Amino acid sequence: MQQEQHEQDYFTSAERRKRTWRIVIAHLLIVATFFVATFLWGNFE
Amino acid sequence: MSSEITHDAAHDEHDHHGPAKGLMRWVTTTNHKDIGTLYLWLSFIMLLYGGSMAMIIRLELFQPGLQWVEPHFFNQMTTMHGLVMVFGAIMPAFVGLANWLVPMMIGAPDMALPRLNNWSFWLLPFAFGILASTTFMESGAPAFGWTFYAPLSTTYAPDSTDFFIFAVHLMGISSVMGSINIIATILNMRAPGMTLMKMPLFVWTWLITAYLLIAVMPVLAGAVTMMLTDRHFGTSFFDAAGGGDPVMFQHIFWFFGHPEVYIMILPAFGIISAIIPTFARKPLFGYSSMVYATASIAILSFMVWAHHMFTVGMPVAGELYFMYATILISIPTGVKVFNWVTTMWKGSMTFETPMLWALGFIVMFTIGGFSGLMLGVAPVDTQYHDTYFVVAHFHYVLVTGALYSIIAAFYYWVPKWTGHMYNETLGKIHFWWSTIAVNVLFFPQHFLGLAGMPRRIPDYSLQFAEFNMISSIGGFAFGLAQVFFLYIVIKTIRGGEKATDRVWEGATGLEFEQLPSPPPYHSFTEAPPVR
Repeated sequence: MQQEQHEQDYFTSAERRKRTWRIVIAHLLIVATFFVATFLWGNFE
Repeated sequence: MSSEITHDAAHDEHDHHGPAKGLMRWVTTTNHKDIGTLYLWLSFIMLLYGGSMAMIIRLELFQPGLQWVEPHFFNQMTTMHGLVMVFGAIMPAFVGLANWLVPMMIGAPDMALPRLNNWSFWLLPFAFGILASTTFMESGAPAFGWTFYAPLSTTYAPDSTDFFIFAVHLMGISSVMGSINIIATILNMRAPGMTLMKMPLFVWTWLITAYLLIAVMPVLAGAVTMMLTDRHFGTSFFDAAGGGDPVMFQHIFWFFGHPEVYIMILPAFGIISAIIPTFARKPLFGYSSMVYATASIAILSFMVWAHHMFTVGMPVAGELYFMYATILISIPTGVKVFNWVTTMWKGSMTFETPMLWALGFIVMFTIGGFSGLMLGVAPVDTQYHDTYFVVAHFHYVLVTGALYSIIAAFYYWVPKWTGHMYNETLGKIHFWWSTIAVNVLFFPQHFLGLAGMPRRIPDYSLQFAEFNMISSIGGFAFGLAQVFFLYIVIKTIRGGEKATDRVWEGATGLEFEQLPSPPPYHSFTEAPPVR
């Protein structure tokens, strides 16, 4: 019952949590890209 | 004065527990208000730690000749002072303010990822503990300046540099996690009706700052990783003898370092944009232009990094490009300053302590902006480069800019956070004491720089003696003023006149209109109405 309520609440719905994780993964990819690109830049000589 | 805002405490008690007791409350907390408080206290401790190193620097420079410390220790002090103030004082203070304010401003119950939030904070005391411990190592702390240029930080670096590298990695991880959390919170946790263009400017500036952080922190991490492999694993990224390029280090560092400057000032713009309308009793002039100006500054900040290295030997076309791109930034920055001034125009202004700090910010940050324009002009930068003119410039931007905005934010929001008003007389004394002292401290450094005094030296020629002595006196007075500030902070937390829910007559925003002072431990467990 409590879990059901949690799933329906505006801030804690399953859909919203899924969106949070999508945002996190997308931004971690940006972080990884910049990290790797730094080494490529540092080695371009 | 506003009417009392009632809060359904019974609902909170039923669904949620209050804070745990004792030390474990702070170690295990996932509450955005608690974590915000932890960040703010860490930054204050770091401000006093970095400030004590500044006192040593100014003590040594009080007179020409070597008086108090060895030159190598002096270099350790300038390096650690810069690192601690940038990464330990200014950045965590803004993250602390974001933690306290962003959820309350957008009508969210907490940050999107509360446990990650706890981890983001608790990495930092360990990072700074490791960094501070280098002072007591046999080789001493890093002494190559906060910019840690190769080969000073690689071939010729002390053994303690590896501890510095690890500390920077931890700070970077903390910043990246904190930024992603802030982005997820702002993009996904806004109350219904809180559209992007209705968000308070502090939230907007932090959203843009978070994007700057996730773009440049990995670059900093990459730079220190390359330093590590150059030092221990036989690579030659920055070693000319192995086919590498030390100048490449400067390019990579400043690709991080210039956006870092805006990371430390964009949230300040958000704070000032909240305070000025409240005490002018007028809505902010040009809200949307403020948003676009912030975004423009952020985009341009990625395109101007080499203005920090005009004297390194670049093609003239490169110097011209970086010069024009740099000066272009003055346009969106000017938009902001003019919007603040226009907000005050014909307003019913009063001058409570937060407003004084905000006005001090506008006047003195603009002085720092103008000296920045001078430094951005490539041919004349050849004269200014590596002189005290640069020191004066970035202290006007970071002390009377970033730090002033943080102190303004404290006085503005502390009645909301604690439910207690600070003492107005003490706040005003703090402002005028600091403002007179900070100008005595930093303004003469412009003259020293123009006369040719280099930065990062423990001794100097006799012709610089008077201005250095004046600067040091200002420095000691400014340092003492911040100890006085510590007294005000503790006094306000412990008690004081009860603050109303709205706190300020002209205050707007969900935190003032929808929450009591102090707000409950868990606020907005249900989404508030947004007009």
